[in-house]
Amino acid sequence: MTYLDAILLLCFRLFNGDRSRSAIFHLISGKKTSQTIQDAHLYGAHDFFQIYPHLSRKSFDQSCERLIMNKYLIEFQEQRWRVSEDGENALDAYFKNHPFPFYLKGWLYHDRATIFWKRLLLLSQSLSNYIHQENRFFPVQRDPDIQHWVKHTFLNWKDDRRKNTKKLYLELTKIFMKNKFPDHPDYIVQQMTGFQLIGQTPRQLADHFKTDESEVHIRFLNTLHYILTEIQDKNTYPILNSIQKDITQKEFVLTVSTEKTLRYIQQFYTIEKIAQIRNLKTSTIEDHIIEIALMVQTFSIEPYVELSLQDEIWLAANSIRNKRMKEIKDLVPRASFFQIRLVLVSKGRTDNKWKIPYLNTLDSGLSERVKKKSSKV
Amino acid sequence: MLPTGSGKSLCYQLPSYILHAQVLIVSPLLSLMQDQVEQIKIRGEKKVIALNSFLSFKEKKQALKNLQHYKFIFISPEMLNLAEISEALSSCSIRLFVVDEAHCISQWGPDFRPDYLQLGAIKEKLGSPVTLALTATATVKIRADICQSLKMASPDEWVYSVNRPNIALKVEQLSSFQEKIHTLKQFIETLSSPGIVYFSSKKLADELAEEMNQTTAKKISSYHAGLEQDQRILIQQQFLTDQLDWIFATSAFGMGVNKENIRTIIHFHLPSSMEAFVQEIGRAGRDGEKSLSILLYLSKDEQITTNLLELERPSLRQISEFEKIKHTASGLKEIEEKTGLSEVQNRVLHYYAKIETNHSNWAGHVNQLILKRMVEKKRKIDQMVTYVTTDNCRRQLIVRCFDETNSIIQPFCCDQCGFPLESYIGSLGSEQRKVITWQNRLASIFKENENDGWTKDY
Ligand SMILES: [Zn+2]
Repeated sequence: MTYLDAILLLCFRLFNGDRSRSAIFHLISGKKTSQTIQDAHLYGAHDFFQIYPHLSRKSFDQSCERLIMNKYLIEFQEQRWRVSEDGENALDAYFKNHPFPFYLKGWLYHDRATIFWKRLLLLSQSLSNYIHQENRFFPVQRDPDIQHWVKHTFLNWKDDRRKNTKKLYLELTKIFMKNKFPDHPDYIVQQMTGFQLIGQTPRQLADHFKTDESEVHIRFLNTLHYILTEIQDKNTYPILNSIQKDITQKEFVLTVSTEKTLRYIQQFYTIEKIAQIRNLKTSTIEDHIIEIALMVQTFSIEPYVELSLQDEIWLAANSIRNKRMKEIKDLVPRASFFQIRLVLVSKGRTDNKWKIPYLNTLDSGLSERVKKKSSKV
Repeated sequence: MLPTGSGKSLCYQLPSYILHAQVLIVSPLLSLMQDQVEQIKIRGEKKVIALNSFLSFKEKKQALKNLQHYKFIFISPEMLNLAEISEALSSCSIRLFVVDEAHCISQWGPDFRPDYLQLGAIKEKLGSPVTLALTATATVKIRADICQSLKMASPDEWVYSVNRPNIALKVEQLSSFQEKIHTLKQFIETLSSPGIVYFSSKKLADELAEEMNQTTAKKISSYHAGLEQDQRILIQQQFLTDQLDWIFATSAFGMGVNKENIRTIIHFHLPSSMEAFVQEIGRAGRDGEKSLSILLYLSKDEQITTNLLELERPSLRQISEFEKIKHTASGLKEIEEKTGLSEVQNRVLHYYAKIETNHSNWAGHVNQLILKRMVEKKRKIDQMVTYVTTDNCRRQLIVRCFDETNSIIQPFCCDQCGFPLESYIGSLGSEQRKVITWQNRLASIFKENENDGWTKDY
């Protein structure tokens, strides 16, 4: 089993046959559509959002075929899959020997992590060349926005460059040495580039650690997300924090069409009225509202579902195992499907159920053991 | 016509500074363009821009608004078609028009790019500035094509010999695929590196690179267009800084890579033409030191190369389908999805749709034209087979292919003339570059490992 296989099993477990295989592909490759974003929150799978941004459909399908062939997945309806008993056992066995990615926060960090990492790579390369008195080098990042930010920071620091280089070094060392640091720092440090010392690619790291690229990627991402969480403490990590402090406001990215709908909502138009003006179906406007509820933490769903109905729906949802909308509807007939979805997504924003079965391994020191084992090459 | 890597870019950079002239450079490969731009930027020149599909909408708009302020404008041929681009270009005063890899213009060349054919018209629209066509490999026929397409009446031609005396030539005939792999491994372990092994299959390059990286003492990585850009940059830089011994690559690797000390080029598959072959081995020995080209040949290898060519050819059914939907489809992508054409095939058919009009049976006619091109391409493969099977001097054969008549007699020529392979053996026991611990790596990056003064300042 590859790490990707294991992640897919976790997703299949969460979706429990309510969604097609494609939904899982869109989730982990990070397709930004209302449907995918809704699924992510409805099923408590938002932490997996865009964790494999470069995954090809082909590799995804190959991975699924492997799981089916091993009978880890069973097709209980056409094109609907659930994790089998064997699958559950295989998953448990897998995470006894591989670190579980507790710190993944795909939905919260996907954009921020990418930008932070690219900036950190290019900033380190620039500072490294600077303190080695070399001012010509090939940048390892070609993204103009990243280059612009690094150039700006570099110029801004002017007289503090050496001091800040040292600080950056000390902050990185401090975070890597933390007891709670979830994995081997190699997954971060070996990818970094300095003066005449070019970073390793994930593939080369996989070769080195004798594992597969999908494992290297998630172990890297897990540590990166851990770092992002830690450095929100800007007194302890002023430099690292400054690398990402301006990215925060980009958190709520709405699709263009949803953005338009939001403007009408802010002017207190009703769903029907907006649909009429925009010449769209009311169901489309409802999808937009769901998307907004997901994105904007402060968005109140009360205008669409009164408080007592919200409670009723949430109670019903928790009384059945799978949050299947039809079953909830049977229990609360007076609620519409739109209202049910709206309540589920707004309450699902803090759902952590995917990692609950593994929490015991976090404290038992197992991850420490796994860490040691795989770092010995 | 200049050998690969002999500083072609100087031919337009220098005049630009002397004449204070704005230069437009048409470049066919995105990765190559990025490298060229980075190389100019590294020199400290900031007024350089690459107009290609990597630019976001916002960046493109910004760049076009300020186009007249750039000294060097790199552009991909397909971008030249866009109305907004030609409008922006007309506001500039382009005084030097450069066509890089100009052999792409020729139908008979191995890398024919239909987009290149309109360059003549574009040049006239720009007011016919001085034109410089650059290529590393071109026969007389291709050179004639270039002059005609670019409307160059009586151009000055500088043609350098394709012969690179410091590169010895060898063909290794093998009797099975297993033996081929075994032989490759032996060469990798013994011959001088850095080196490149060329494959025509990404998958094989990946698999063998992984296997040999683990089972030999050499550091090996694969490189091809299937890798993400970040990874491609890292691997290229590792190779340039001698952190890698060998690159297992497809033909995507090499253009724009300025590395002087490449010692050995191995071809695992038969190249598709002598032009491609000469260009690829020409990446060795730019420092003038003794270097080596080895081609591994298994009888019927030409069949693999021919099959790849056949795969490139659109079927008559696809051509007809293309004809039917080309006016109603909303874009290139839709045509590709509906007909199963590749991007390149699609571009070729668009080109034929433009120039071959008034045919009652268009699809049949175009199919014939494409078949004719195939015949020509197969002839080129046959040329490579002759190179492999000849009993005579291989160097002499190469220069004849490029219509050069000089006769060459030199030491370390080719395996037919005889040369000692031992003199190309690399220093044994090349120290294995281990992955250092993260603590040491971090300390090296931030120069915390040595107490050399600056830490005291702090
Ligand atoms: Zn000879």
